[in-house]
Amino acid sequence: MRRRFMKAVWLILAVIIVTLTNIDAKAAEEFPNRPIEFVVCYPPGGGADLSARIILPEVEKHIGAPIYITNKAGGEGTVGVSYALNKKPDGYTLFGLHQSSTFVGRVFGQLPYDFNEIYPISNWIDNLNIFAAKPNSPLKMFKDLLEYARQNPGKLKYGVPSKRTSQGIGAELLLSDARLDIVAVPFKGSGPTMTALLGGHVDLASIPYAMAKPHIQAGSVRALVVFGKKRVEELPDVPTAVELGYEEAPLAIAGAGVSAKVPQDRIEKLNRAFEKAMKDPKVLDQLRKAGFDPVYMDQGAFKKHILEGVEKVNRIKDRLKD
Amino acid sequence: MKCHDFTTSLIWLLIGAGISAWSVAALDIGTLQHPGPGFLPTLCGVLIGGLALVVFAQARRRETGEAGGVFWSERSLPRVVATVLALVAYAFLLERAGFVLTTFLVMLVIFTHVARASWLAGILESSIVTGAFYWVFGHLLKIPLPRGWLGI
Amino acid sequence: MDFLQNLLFGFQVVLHPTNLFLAFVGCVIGTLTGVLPGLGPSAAIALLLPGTFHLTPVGAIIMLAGIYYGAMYGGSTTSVLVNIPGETASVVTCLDGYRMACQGRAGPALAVCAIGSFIAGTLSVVGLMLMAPTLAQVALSFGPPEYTSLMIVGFVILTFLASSSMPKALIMAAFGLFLSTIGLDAVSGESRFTLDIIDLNDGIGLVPVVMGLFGISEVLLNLEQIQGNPEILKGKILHLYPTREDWAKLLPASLRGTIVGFFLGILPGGGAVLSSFVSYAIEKRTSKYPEKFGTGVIEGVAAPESANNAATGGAFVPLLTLGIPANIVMAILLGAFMIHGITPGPMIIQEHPDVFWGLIASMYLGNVMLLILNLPLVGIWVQLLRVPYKILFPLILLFCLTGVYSVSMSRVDILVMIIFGVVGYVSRKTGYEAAPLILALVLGGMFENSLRQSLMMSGGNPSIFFLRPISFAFMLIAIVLLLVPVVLRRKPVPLLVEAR
Repeated sequence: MRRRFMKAVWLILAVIIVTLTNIDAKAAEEFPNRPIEFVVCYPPGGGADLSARIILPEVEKHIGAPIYITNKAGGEGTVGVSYALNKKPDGYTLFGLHQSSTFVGRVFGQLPYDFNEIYPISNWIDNLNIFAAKPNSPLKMFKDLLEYARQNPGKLKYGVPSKRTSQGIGAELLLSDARLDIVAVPFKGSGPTMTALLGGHVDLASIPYAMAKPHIQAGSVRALVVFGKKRVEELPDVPTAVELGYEEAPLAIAGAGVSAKVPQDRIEKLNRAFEKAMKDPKVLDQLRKAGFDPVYMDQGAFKKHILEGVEKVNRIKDRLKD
Repeated sequence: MKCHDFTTSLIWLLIGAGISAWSVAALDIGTLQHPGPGFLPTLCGVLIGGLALVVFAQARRRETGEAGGVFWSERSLPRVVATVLALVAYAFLLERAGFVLTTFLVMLVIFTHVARASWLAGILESSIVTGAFYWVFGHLLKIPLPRGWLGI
Repeated sequence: MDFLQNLLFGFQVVLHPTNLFLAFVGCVIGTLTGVLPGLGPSAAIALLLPGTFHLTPVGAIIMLAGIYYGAMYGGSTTSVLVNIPGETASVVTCLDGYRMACQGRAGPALAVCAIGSFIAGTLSVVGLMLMAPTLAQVALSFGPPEYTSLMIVGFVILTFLASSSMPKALIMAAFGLFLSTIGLDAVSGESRFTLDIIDLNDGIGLVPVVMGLFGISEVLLNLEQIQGNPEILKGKILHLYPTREDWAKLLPASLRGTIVGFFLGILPGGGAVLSSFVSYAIEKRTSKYPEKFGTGVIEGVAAPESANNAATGGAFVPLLTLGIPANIVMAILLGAFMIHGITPGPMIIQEHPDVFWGLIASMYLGNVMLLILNLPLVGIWVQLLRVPYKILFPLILLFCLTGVYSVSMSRVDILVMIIFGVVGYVSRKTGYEAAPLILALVLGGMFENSLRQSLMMSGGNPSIFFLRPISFAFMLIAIVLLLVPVVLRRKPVPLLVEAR
């Protein structure tokens, strides 16, 4: 009696499973006709997650299907990307893209997937990074830094949230161009880096502007130079690395990608939806309010940007190593 | 309990040696002034090995021998193994089959095979448990539980 | 008396019906996430964050903060009842709390947790309100050398943790230290011992290890008893609330725990887990009957539970005054502030007084709410012990599975938990304790980083640890703690007695 009952149960279960798998396989023609998964490659609550949660509801409206977010953190953004690339390339799985899961990871050979398998859809956010000096430091301007560091090689220390972040790359590129010998002390994340600078445990720090903003306003730290070519609006007197004649650091990226194997017409649809969302003033306003610096890049510009990143990071690879 | 000290200390000795060997082989140890990434792991391996020798020596001094205390009982082991296997199955099924289906199946196995409930009671219990968990975690706490073959 | 006026203003903000309701919702969700093993406040806050976009900034922050300190109230419940910590900060509570429950004193143990949490929660808000800017300066004076010396004190405390066999406890500690090195090395960026599993690049998570060593292994051990229920379910429930005698022990222990917890909470990275261990160690060292710790002593429950709650208050100090998050939860809260257009930092009190004082006032109210919410719950939780184990244990397993998965959405974390469940099962059967491993895992990552950062700062000269006053003081404490037992020729009393 009992054995027969067991058999019946297993049979029913088997039937259920088989039918359900079939339903999944039959998923049909019109794209999109079911919810789209967006894989955020960092934990909930961080910058990557927040920006996606601001932008995606607007994309949802334009694409005409619900988008739900899955957080797959780890491996500096690569865990989520490889999770997404392992799914069926049908356009129903999108993922967040960052420098470590694209050009930085590529240069250091740390990508657990094929770099060319990523199709970058759009970039959303730029991250302004600055080189700041500790409170009551005699270094008032970048010129002071040049002078002092050249006379005292190896004496100054700068804090950085790991060398392979956009802060680390920006600082190393600048220091190698300016031929300055300043010792890098890597911390775990920008919070501890900022704390070390405020406490005066390091002389300088390469940090995101957003992190330093309240302290610059309160007068407790001083910005010496902005990496990249765009000045910070609130700091009209602080020069950029490009203005000082140094090379532009590759931008920090935060955008969306999809598997390159997805049919072109579906990618087009996604592209258009993202473009519309990123041109919506409401979205831009909300991003700014949350402390982000929105920059829209379409697929072409984004791809070019990533390839430039590969080339630039390749050049300073050795300095980023230890 | 003490009677396992000989065996466990030898196992720890192996683990310690393994950790040190792996660290030395794969990582840069650096110097005392500039410890590299392999410094602390190597130290840990040496510490584990050294302490394992101490445990071994203590066990010898006690001379209690290996006798006494049964470690595995034939009646308890199958349940423990079955539970562990069910948990491993859960880990591998979860992201493929989705939360609801996986939870139901694994709970069914545990209720019927480890807790020895009847099939009917097992199906009932695991349905209730699955539903309750889906409601608390999925709806109340809004955790994005994996969707799978059921689409939920 | 300026701050009284400000506080009054804060209460005006909180007593607005919407804000009051949001504070309540936060406290309830917090208690719930605390009770559920594995699932912690960071996951809950992050997931509920998008839902707060349409709220006012004050309302959103009040609710999210409520989840955080509410979770510390709930975290001890499962520690006491089933010997499984609901939060990593409640690991220590298992040691004496579970023993109390086995003696039929689950009710008083849970009540002590709630009362201790209330005392600590309230006092830490007072501290936050009166001294935040000053304390922020203290936090800033902690650079890498200071952290290194503080961690060394932590390791010395760890050597007291042995109960039956010191070498065995130290083996577990060394193993925990090794585990903390797994993953990408923060200084060199090299990956260590990851077996090419990318999920391990960020290291072995504390939550899966704790859930495995305590949760899964506990169930596996209990499953060995073929018939009947484990020990805990056999005891009779004597009484629900603490006796007068209990109160006399509870209050001083709770106050000491509060002070330790608050100050360790201020330090970024210090936090609730460390403070609960430290306060337990202090209670045991200063006790007249240290040998009884681990057998169900009320101070052993009150002190760590107060410490982890006080630490939540302390953790707000660097966030609100410097804009720097002391832990993951605070990092998410920082995101919450930013998304509502508020930048926490030195200017927040001037620029957004409603948010700052509203939050402070809401924390006073929230702690009262949590006490009122949690004391009656004690009666209900105790009834849980009447559920037959054959129904209870699958539920415990599923709580561990879902809880761990919800933290990182990672299959690898579930596997890590299972592996450590088996490790815990075997090691506890052979007399190796789990608690030293957890403490070493907590201390390890920070110790290694700060040690190497310090040596980079000094160019490889170790004198940096002795030339800076705070660091020197910690080194002195560590040396004294190590030497005292040797000099007095007294065998150190084992600090932790495992439940088994």
